[in-house]
This record gives sequence, C-alpha cells and structure tokens, in this order.
Amino acid sequence: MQPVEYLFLILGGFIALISMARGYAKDLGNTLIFMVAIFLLSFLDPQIERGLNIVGQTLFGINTLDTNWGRQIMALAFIGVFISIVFASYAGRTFEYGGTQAPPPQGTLLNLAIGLLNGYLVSGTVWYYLDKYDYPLPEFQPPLSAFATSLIPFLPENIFPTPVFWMLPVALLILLKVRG
Amino acid sequence: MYENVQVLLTLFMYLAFFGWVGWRRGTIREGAVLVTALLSWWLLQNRSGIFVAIANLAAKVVAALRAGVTERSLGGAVEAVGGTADVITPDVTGVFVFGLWAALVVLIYIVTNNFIGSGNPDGWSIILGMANGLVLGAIMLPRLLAPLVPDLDTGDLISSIGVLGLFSGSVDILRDGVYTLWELIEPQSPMVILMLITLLLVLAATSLKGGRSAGAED
Repeated sequence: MQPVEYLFLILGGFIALISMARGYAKDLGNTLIFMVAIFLLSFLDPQIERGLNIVGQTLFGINTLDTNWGRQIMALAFIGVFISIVFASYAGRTFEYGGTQAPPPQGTLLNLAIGLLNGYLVSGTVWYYLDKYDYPLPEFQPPLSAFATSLIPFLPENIFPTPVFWMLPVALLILLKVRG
Repeated sequence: MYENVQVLLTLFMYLAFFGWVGWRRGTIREGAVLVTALLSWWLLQNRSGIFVAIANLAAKVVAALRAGVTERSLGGAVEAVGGTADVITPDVTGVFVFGLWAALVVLIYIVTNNFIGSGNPDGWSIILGMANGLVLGAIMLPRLLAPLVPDLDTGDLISSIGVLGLFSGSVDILRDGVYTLWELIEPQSPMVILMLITLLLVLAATSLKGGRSAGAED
C-alpha cells in the first residue's frame, strides 16, 4: 500500500502553489466553480451512479459496482468529470472575480488561504471518489494508515451532512459579485 | 482542558493589543523597536562583560573626578580610582543588564515616536507589533512572575525561557488551545467549518478593490 495521504497532500500542495502564483483575485472564481462542481456531483451522485450502472448492465450484463474494473470506471468517471471542470475553470474564458488584491501581508495570507482551500477541494474530491469505490486503482490498495483514515471524514464530500452546505458560500460570493 | 482555552484567549488578547499598538505606530517604528530589542538583548546576554566594564569604569571616573575636585591632586584622584569598588558586582550584573535593556527599549519607543512618522498602517505593522509583544513578553513576563507566584523558581524560568522559548511556547499554546477548542466544537464541526470557509471567502472577496466584470480571458 502506498501512503495515499502523501499523494493527496502533495497534489493539494501543488494546487495551492498554483493558486498562490495566480493570486486570489483570479482564484476566487475557481474556488466558486470547484464548490459548485462538488455540490452538483454529490447532489446528482445517485442518478449518475444509477445511469452508469444501467450502461454497464446493458453493454456488459454486469452490475458495475460488483467488479473491480467496474468500480474503476465509476471512480474514473466521477474524477474525470471533476477534473474536466477544474481544467475548464483554469483554461480559456474563466470566471474571474476581478479587482486588485490587498497588499502584502494580507494579500499573501489570503493567497495562501485560498490556495490551500482550492488544493483541499481538488485533491480531497479525487481522494473521496477513490475511497468511495474502495480504491479500485492498483497503485492504492487498502488498508489505509491511521492518519489517512482520520482524514477521510474531512474530505469535501464527507465534511457536511448534505452537499447543499457548499452552496452557502457560493451564494454569498455571487451576491458580493453582483453587488460589486 | 478549559485552562488551555483560557491561555489561548489570553495570548490572543495580548497579541491583539500589541497588534493594535503596531497598527497605530506603523511598520518602520515597530521594525526599529523589534530590531533594537532583539539585537540589544542578544548583545547584552552574550557580551555583557563589555557593558559591565564600561559601567564600572564610568563609575570609577566619576569617583576620580570627585576626588580630583575635592583634593586637587592627581595622586588623590588615582588613589580614589584604585580604591573604588566595582559598582556592578557579579550579584547585580543580571539586574544591570536587564535595566540597560529596558532603558534602551523605552528610549527607542520614545525616539521612534518623536522622530519617525507612523506612515500608512498595514498588515506588516500589526505583525511587527505582535512580534514585539512576544519579544517583550519573553523577557519581562518571567520577571513579573517572581512577586506574583512566590513558590515558582523564576530564576530557572528567566534563564531558560528566552525569546525562542516564548515563540515555541506560543506555538505550543496555540496548538493545544486549537486542539481543545476543536474538542469543544466537534459536535458542531460542520457548521463551524462552513462558517470558517464562508468567512474566509467573504473576507477575500471584500478585500478586492475595484472589481471588473466576470468572464475575462486568461
């Protein structure tokens, strides 16, 4: 078993570094999109899972969740959709919050905080789907370390009793943007 | 368990006060105090012999001048110098060093207040003000404890805590306090985390000045 927590901590760290380099004025828009993506994927999770299961049963005659490769496909589908949204939020026409950042050190601290939040949202979501489908990739096999197990309840999809919670900061950010 | 929270709140209030002082006084003034306080403390701790010798020599010169004035002879003055005991004996070296440092710090506060403009207050002035609070606390708090807590061996505390000791001690207090706070709020942790994330995002969004429309090309 590879120490899965280190991979995700490093992944989160990289995203935090990218966010710090870009600045929180640009990255607030990404944060907003990540939170919406987490909400949508969590909210529609049962429907998407059922749909993929129907496809699996129709094409291959199996219950997707019964086989390892089926769970692989499920995990990769969710992760693929999420990563596509993450990529789209960074590339091309992006939702940019706009404005001039606060000067250092407030600006630097906010860069760091928003960067860490973005890193947590992205790497935490990828980890969540691997965990949900029982680590179907051969590189990561249970059992997890005690530290990794203690982090699982704090992944973005597990931390709130309902994904609707993620929409509160989203709504506030949109209100602040509209208000100008 | 709740003592940790009290200690954390006390530390927070203490740092907030010095942060506010830093905000009022400005970055350059607070930076000057921090550099002076740290450098002078290091010098006085590691090269105290020089300052003790200078003080003793000055005391002897004063004695010599007095002898010269009263007896009007070089011999009497030299005799007076030779016969004068050291003012700063090993017993009072610690008091002398601390007194000298305290005088320097007070002086630098007065000088910076009178001769350096406060400038525009920013985050650095708050951080430097808090750092000053930690440095002053590290050096002065163990001495304050002596009369307040008679049973405590403040001699060990004074010699062992040091500036770095207070910094690491503050980190320990923060860690223990946050851990205890987390234990208290754990049943409501989703709401607390939601509030913290929302607060961070609102703080970031409201700190942006002069926004432009969404949909900008990267």
